[in-house]
Formats: sequence, C-alpha cells, structure tokens
Amino acid sequence: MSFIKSTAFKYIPILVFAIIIADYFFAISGLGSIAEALRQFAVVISNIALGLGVISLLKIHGKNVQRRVEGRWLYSIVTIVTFLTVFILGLINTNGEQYQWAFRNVYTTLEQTMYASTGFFIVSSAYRAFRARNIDAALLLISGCIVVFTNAPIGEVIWSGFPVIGDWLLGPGQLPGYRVLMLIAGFGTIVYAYRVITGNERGFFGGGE
Amino acid sequence: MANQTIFDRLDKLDRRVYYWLIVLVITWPLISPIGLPITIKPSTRALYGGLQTVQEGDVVLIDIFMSVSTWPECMGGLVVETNTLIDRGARLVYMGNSVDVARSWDRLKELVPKLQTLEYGEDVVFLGYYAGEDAAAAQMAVDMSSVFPADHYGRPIAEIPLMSDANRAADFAMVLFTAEGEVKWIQQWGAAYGVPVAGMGIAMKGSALAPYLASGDIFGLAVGVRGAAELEALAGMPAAATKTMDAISSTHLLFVILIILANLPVIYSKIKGGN
Repeated sequence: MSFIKSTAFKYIPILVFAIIIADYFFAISGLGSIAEALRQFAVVISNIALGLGVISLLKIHGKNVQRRVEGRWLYSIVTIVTFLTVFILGLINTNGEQYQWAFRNVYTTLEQTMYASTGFFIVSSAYRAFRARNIDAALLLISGCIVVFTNAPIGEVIWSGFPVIGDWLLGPGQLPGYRVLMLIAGFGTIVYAYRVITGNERGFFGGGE
Repeated sequence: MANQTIFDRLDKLDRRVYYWLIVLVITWPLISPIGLPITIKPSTRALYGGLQTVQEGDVVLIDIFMSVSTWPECMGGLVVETNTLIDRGARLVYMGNSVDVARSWDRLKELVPKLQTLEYGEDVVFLGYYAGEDAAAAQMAVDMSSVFPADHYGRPIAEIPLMSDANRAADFAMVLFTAEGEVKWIQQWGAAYGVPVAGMGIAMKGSALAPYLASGDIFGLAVGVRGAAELEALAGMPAAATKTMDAISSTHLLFVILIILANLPVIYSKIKGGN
C-alpha cells in the first residue's frame, strides 16, 4: 500500500498528463490510441461520479433522518422518498408514462419556479446592497445601470446613447480585464500541470499538500 | 414613527412592495404588449449569417447544455437555429451535458414540428446525456462512438446511418452550444480541429464570452432572451422571446428605478454630512 501511495500515485498522474498534453499539442503517432483510452477512462469515471453522488446523497440525508437533525430530517425524508420514487420509475422504463409525468409535471415546474424566483431575490438584494457609498461603488452602479439599459429595448427608447456606452463597456471596456483573468487562469493551470508532472501536486488523490 | 422622513421610509421599504411591483411589471406587458423595437447586435447577426453558410448535407452538432430553468432564455434561439438549419438541409446531431437534456429535446420537438418530418437516424439524431466535459469533447473529436455507444433511445450507433458519416470532429461543419459549456468545444474542437463554434449564452455569460467572440474563437453569439428575440427577428419568426422582451424592458426599468430610490437615502445622508 505504501508503494502505491508513495510511487504509483505519484507517477501515474505524471504519465497521464504527459500523454494527454503531448497528444494535444504534437499529435505523436502511436500516442493517439493511448490518449484515447485515457480519455475514455475519464468519461467512464465521470459517469461513475454520478453514482458516487447518489451514494453521498443517501448517506448524508440518511444520517439526517437517523439522527433526527432538527429542521432537516423531514426534508431529508422528502429527498430520499422522491429520489427512490423517480429512481425506481426510471429503472422500470425511462420512456414510461409515470417517469415522464414526474419529469414533466414535477421536475420541470419546480426547476422553472425556482429559477424564476431568483428574479425577486436579485431585485431585493439590489435594493438593499447596491448603495453608492463611495466613488468606486457609484461607478460600478452607473456602469451596471447602463448595461441593464443596453440589454433592454427600453434603454434605447429613453436615450440612444445607452446602447452605445453599454456596448463599449461590454466590449473594449471589459475585454482587457477579462482577458487578463483568463490568462491568469491559463497560467495557473500550466503551473498546476507542472506541479503534477514534477510530482509536487498530490492534493487531488488525498495526499495532503 | 412620526419623525421618519421619506428617506428613512425608503431605506426600510418592505420587500413585499417591490415583490408586488415585479409581478405587476412582468404581467402587464405580457397581457398588453408594447412592442418596442429591438436593434440586432452584430454578434447575433454573425451567428445567423454563419447558419446561412451551412450547405445541404452538412452535419451540425448541437450541444443542449441548458436545463429546463433556462428555457425562457435559450429555447427561443435554439428553435430558430433548428428551423434555419433544417431549411438549409443540414443533418443535426443533438446531445447535452445537462441531466434534463431529454426534457429539453422533447420540448424542442414540440416547438419545431419540422423535426418530426425529418427521418430519424438519417437527418437527425438525439444522442442524449454525456458526462465528462472536456475529456468527453476531446474523445468525441476522435471517436464519437466511444462516448456514445448508443443514442438516447438505446439504438446502437453502428446502426445509425447519420453517425457513420459523423464520427469525429472533422466530419462536422459546425458546433453550436446552448446556454453554457462553450469552452470545451472552443478548446477541443475549434482550436484543435478548426471546427467553427458559435451559440447562445444565458444573459450573464455575455461578458464572459466576449473575449472569445473578439478573438474569433466563436464566430457568432446570441445572448439571453434578447439574443433569442434578435434571432427570431432575423429569421422573421417572432415567438416567445419577442413577446418576453417587453417584460424584460419593464423589469429592467423597475430594477434601475429601485436602485435609484435605494440610493436616495445614501445621497441625502451624505448631503447632511452623515455616514
């Protein structure tokens, strides 16, 4: 076990990274089929992660029910019962009428209602938090309001300058900043990859640092 | 209570007041539409123009990343894209990284009756859900059948004629993303194999996608309900997104008015020399 932890876990990620990167940038013959197999592993693991999520969900909510956690356990029962009902219906037939009914009339409506209700929270939080307490906040607020009027046709009706300024803010105004962010993230990924390749990054398999 | 100024009242305004105002400003234009004109943005025009370049028989991949909650923003645009591509004689491959992609596919079929007239397996295929993001997209680029051994309905890929012509990135004329998940297509298909990428983003993705648009990594972009309404206008088929635009206008106006009202007490206290 210690050999696996100390050596195999260290060199497997290095090997995988090296193969995938070499295949992407240099298309070395013979490497393609190995990279393909590795990518297929990744896809399979992603699917397994869904199953892992189910186990985690049942474990957490099962504990809530078992321990009668105040303010949570009743909701946990609802979660478990709903999950099991839809899961069993899906196992019987995903194209069956009952499963489709649950999807169409329960999931769809609840999901849309939840998303729509965020509109109320956005307005509420905007009213309470968007205060121009200093120059920076005032500039942010004014820019935000101009962009809002750029996206809504009424902005152009109120003043034809709104979309002009708004499009500038969304284009040249924000592009340099956003590009810098993306470049930083890109460089960060390269550094992370380098740390993995050199065996210094072990956090992703629970190895501490 | 009697000593409260108008600014104190504004500062402590009951949230139910503006909740009701939102309900009013959304329902009113839906009942009685105003029909404000919409200016079409160049990015939306570029997306629609790109769709017009598709030749008969070209295969187009459409990634339905949206969940049912983002239908109001993106479904209208997807309907226009689908109708336009069908009219161009394209062959369509749908899939999605959202767990409810099958529900979105069913809804799309309801909204685009032309989809029912296409021969399934020859002109259109629904591959269903996939997991794995970048790894999946990279693998699809070299061997689609290894990610999707069968379509959503369980029919083996090997038995689907369309998929025998479209098993790797080079076989596709274009990739269209919906709502999110664009980066994997840009990096794994666009940059690596030169497949043109474009699509629709939810409103909040507009600024995040702007750098890709400016750099030419995506050739077109429609953002949010407005983008969908612009596509509807370009295609000459006003539908749900166009109807929603008046409600967008009224809610956005209310949003700005509320922000101004909320800031009056701050301005007042600053004038008075307080915090």
